[in-house]
Amino acid sequence: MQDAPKQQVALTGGDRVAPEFFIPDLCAPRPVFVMILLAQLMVIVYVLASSALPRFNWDLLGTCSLFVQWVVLLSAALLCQLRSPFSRISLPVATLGSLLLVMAVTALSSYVALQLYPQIHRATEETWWVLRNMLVALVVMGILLRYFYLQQQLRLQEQLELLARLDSLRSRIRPHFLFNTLNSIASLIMSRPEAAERAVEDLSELFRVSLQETQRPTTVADELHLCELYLGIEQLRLGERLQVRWQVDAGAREQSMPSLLLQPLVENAIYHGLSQLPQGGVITIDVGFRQSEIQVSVDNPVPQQARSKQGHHMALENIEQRLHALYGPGASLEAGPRGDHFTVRLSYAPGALL
Amino acid sequence: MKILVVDDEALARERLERLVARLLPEAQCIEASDGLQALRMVERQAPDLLLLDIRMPGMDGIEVATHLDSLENPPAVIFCTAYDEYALQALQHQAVAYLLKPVREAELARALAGAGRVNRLQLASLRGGEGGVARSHVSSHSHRGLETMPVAEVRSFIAEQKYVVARGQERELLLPDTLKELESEFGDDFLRIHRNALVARRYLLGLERDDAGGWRAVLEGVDERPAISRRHLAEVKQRLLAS
Repeated sequence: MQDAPKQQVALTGGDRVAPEFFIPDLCAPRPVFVMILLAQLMVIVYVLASSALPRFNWDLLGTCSLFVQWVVLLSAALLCQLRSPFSRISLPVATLGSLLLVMAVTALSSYVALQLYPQIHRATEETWWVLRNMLVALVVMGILLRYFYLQQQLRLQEQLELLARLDSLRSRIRPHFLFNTLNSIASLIMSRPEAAERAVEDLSELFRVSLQETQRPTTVADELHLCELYLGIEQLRLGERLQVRWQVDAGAREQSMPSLLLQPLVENAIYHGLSQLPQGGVITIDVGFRQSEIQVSVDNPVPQQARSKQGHHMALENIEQRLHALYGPGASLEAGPRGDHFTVRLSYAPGALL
Repeated sequence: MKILVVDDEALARERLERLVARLLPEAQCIEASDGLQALRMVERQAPDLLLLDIRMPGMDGIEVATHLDSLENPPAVIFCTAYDEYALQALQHQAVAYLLKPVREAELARALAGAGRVNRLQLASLRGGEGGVARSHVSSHSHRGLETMPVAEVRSFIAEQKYVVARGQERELLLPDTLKELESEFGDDFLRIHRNALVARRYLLGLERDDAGGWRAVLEGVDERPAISRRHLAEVKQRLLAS
């Protein structure tokens, strides 16, 4: 028991996700190797396409490789240097900047190549040749940036999902919740064994969701079920002090909702709200589906002088980040006190899943 | 033997009462679901022992014990807690009887045998010492019994000869605390305006001149206008301007 405070510190240590710039560090050995390899493969495809197999054009392969590797490595080196200034400006501007940079490098390299090795282009005029090179660079870079962006979003989503489960697990093993629940169960075993049995089942299911390692698609109905399990346990402890008013649109139930999106909000409503009020109160949970958008609000009374403000924002922050990572900038979350109530509202379009 | 079980959770009370009934069949159990109710029950029913939960909404268990301390003959206290980061270590250090929930029968038997009063020093440590958690109520013990007033209602604390008077909107209370103690406990919410007076920042509306040329504090909801000493005037004005 005496070691417990230390664990507590370790478990609640801040490990929030700060979204990284979407272009990875191109100076690290692995990306450099992968880029050289990919560039070489592209050159081979090009040479294969322009010369038939028995008479493979080794000359073309040589000059092309030299030129393309030069462009790729120079662009990578410059992007790598510009990464930190780019990460401070907005995403579209940084994307445009990267594209222009690569095109400029291509144009410059093309002119230098023409000076050093004039026979590199044959049929066409010099300007058209340079322009062609720039267009190729634009298309390839465009594809690459899209790939980087998707990769980064995926990584972010995974991290946030993991954090959400970790947060939920922290709440489950929050000593106050755990020991009080066990105490309720110990009390029920004698007086109402069936209720004790159900409480153990509910607690197990809550733990199971928090410990789940693989993600599976979940719906509003799944998340509401999770909230009901949680509220069932809190109801044992709080009795009549806990009243819940549900308002769920019929069409909302089958819509997708990430796991542990709503339940932490309900948990906050109890931990910071109802359980601090001697007379308790009503939590209002509203899940609507309007104009193909899921709109959720959770409202609860709070004590006048809040004793513990900590922890509240951790869960909210994670939920907001996950919403944005999953549903893009159209998703929103707002929270704040209204008189002696606290309300959280969030909305997202389930169809806009990235 | 009369035992008062204080816990905001009905199931927790139920279980403790059942354990007590098993250990001490002749004991009589009464119960309270929050701190204020517990103080009223102590007043009316004079229990010998309190099984007191620490984390409760409104007035917590440690504050209940603090108010009990002003009684002439306070009951013994055994604290119960599911887990409380800051209180647990203090409980161990101060050798105050305590139980961890879910409570074991053997532990309860041992605690019942060894329970005693909780003294001032132990209470100070449980509340986190100087500058620790402030009480939600002030209390005093008079011929009318143990009276409490929410700190949120107090307009001013004025030191008179032997007591400090806490003035609320409708009534006042004579407190055993010194003004200095009150200032260190409630310093965040109260402002010193005179050697003998603290006023609630939230009820301080403004200043007004009296006939003698001195300044007085205007407080919301009460007619009383406590005097501001020249020494504190500048600070009071600054506070008013800041808000």
